[in-house]
Amino acid sequence: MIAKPSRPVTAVRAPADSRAVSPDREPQPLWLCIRFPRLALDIHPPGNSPVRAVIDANNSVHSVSAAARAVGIETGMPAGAAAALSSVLQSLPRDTRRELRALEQAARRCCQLTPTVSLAPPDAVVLEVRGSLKLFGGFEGIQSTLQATLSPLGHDYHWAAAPTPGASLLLARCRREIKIEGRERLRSALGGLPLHTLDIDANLLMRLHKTGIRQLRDLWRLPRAGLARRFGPELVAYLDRIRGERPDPCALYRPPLKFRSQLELPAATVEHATILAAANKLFRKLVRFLRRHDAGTATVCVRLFHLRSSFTPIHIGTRQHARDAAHLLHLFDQALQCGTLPESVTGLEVLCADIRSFIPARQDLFRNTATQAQDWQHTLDELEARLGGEAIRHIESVDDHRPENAWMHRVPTGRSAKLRQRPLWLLSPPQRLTHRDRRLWYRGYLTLHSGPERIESGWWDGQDCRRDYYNASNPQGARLWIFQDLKQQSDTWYLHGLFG
Amino acid sequence: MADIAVDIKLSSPRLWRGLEPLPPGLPTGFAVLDAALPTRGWPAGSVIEVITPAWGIGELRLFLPLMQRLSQQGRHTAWITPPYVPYAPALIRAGISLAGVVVIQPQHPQQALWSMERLLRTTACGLAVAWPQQLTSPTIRRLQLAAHRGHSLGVLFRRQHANPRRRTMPAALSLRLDAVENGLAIEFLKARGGCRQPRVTVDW
Repeated sequence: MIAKPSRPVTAVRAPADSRAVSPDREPQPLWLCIRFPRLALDIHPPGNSPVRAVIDANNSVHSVSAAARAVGIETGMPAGAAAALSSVLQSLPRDTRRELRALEQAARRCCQLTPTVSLAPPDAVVLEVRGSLKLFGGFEGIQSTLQATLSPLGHDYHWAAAPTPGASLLLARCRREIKIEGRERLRSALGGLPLHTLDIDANLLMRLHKTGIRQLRDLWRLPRAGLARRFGPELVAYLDRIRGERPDPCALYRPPLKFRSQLELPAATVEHATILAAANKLFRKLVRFLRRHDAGTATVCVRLFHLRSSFTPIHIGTRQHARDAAHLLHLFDQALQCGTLPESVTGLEVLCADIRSFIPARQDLFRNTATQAQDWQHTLDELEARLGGEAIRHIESVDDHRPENAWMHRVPTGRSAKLRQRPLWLLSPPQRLTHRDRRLWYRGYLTLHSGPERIESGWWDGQDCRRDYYNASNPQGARLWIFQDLKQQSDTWYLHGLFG
Repeated sequence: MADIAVDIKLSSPRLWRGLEPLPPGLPTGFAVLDAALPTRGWPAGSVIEVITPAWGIGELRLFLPLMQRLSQQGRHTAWITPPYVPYAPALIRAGISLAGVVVIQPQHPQQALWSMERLLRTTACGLAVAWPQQLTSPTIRRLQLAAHRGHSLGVLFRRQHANPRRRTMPAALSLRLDAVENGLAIEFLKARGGCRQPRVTVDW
C-alpha cells in the first residue's frame, strides 16, 4: 500500500525475507526515511506575501506556510475559508509533477549515502543505511552528511529510522525523529501513532474509526483472523509489512542515464568531412554506451564549438528509439548541410539525455516488411532533419459533423465510421463565392448537381454552423463542394472543397 | 477484322517486337485506361506527368484506386506541397488508410523536389504525388531514376499554361486531362512503349 514511485523500476529488493526467522544473527536493515513536509510549498518561487497556501485539485488547502498557520489557515480547509481568513493570502496551485521532480532531485543526492534509495511519493524518500554506517562513522555521521547534502535544496525535512521502510515512513509523518533498532521494538514504538498516518483509503479509515480504533496500538490488539475477515486481508498484510513480519519490496530509484562526450578537433575547420569524421567517432562511442545499458535513444544534441562565439547546437531526432551510428551520422550530415556554420568549428560534443530501454525491430521470417517499415521511418527522419519537424504531417479524421473540424494534423490512430461523399480537397477557411447576374460564380457560372445536405452542429463550443451543402460544377469541369450559410440573412455562399 | 488479327499476332510470344518487353504495370482501376496504356496499367517505377486545366476536375480521382491498392499492400503515399488540405474523411471513404499518408510542406520548392526524390528511392513509399512549381528536364530525369530504383510511382500534377508549346519532358507517361460530362477525357501526350489510342474517356 505504499505508493510505488512512477520512475522506471530497475531493480527490486526484498530486504526482510528469511531473516525474520533468526533476528539475532544477521543485522537487520535500517531504513532511514526523509520526509519533506513543505515540499508542495517549497517548489513554488517565493512571492510577495509570506501568507501562502497550496490548494490541491479538490479545492482544499494542501499545505501552508508558517505565516499562514499563524493566521489560522490549516491543512484540509476549503480554499474559500482560507481566503476569508487572510486578505493577503497567496494561493498556489498544486503541481505534483514538479513535486516528483524535486523529490527525485533529493533522491539523487541521497544516492551518495547508499545505493538502496526508494521514492515514497508525494513527499518522502526512504534509504537503507545499515551497510553505510561504518563508512560514514555511525548514524550521527550519516545524519550530518545528509544535512550537508540536502541543505542546498532548501527544503525542511524530518527523519526517522526503523527496520522496515513502512515503519520509518509512518514515524517521519508523525515527526518522531527517532531511530528504532530491532523489529521486536516496532510494535510498541508505533503503538502511539494515530490511525490517519496509515496509507489506507478514507473509507476504510472511517470504518476503523467507527469501530473505536484510534491508534495503531488498538489494531495490534485485535485478532488477525477477525481483522482480516472484517476489513480485508490487504489491511493485515499491510500491517505485517510495517512490522517486518512480511517482506516489503521497494522499487529502487536509479538516477537517469546521461551520455556526454567531447572531442577537440586538431585545427579549427569548416570542412564537413572533418566534422563528420569526428561526429562519427562520438556517435560510435554513444552507441557502445547505449549497447552496454541495453538502451536506445530518440534525441541527440550535437554542439559545435567555435573559437569566438560559444557553440551551435544541432538537434537530431529519430522516430524510433534506436542505436544506429550510421543513421545518426546520416541525419547529422543532413542537418549540417541545410544549416550554415557561423564560423569554423574547434570541437564537438555529443549530449544524450533521452535514454530509454531498447526495443529491437521485429524480424519477419518470410517477408521484408520489417525492413521496409524501418526504411520508411529512416526516410521520414531524414526528411525531418532537412526540412524541419513542421514540414511533415500526418492527417487524421475526427468524428465531427462540421467539415472543417473533421480532420486534423497528427500521427493517426483511429478511424471514422461516417462515410459520406466528401471532396478530396478542403479549403480552409472556406472561400466566399460571388454572384454575377444573380447566379453563383467561381471561374464561371456554377451548376448545382446534388444536395442539399444540411450540416448543423457545434452550438456547444461556440463555433456553431448551419449550412446546406451542394455539389456543383463550373464550365471548366471542376467539381465543387459549396454551401449556403444559413446563419446569415442574405444569400451567402462559400466554396469549401474541390472533388479533385 | 484486320485489327483483331494484328492484335492476336502481336500478343504471340513467337513474334519479336523490336522493343524490350515492358514490365507489367500497376492496374489503374479503370478498364478503359488499362486497355489503352502500353503497360496495361500505370508504368511501375517511373514518373507520370499530369497536365490539367484546373485543380479539382478529377485528376486525383484517377489515382484513388492505386492509392487504395498501395494502402492495402502497406506501402505509403506521400503528398508533396498539395495546393489544398487533403481531406481525411474523403480518403477514408476511398478505402485509404491514413496511417500510410504523409503530407510534406517544405519551405522552398527545391526542397519539395529533393523530398520527392528521397521518397521515391525507398521501396516503402509506393506513390509520391507532387504539385511542383517549376520543373526542368534534368529534374524529371532524376526523379525517374529514383522511382526506378525504389519501384515506386511519382506523379507530377501541373497546371496547363496559356501557350501550348512546351518541350517534351522525359517522364515515362504524360497525360493531359480535360473535364467532360460525368467523366474525364485523357489525352496521351507521351507514353513509353507506344500508345494504343491517343485519347480515352474515363467515366466515373
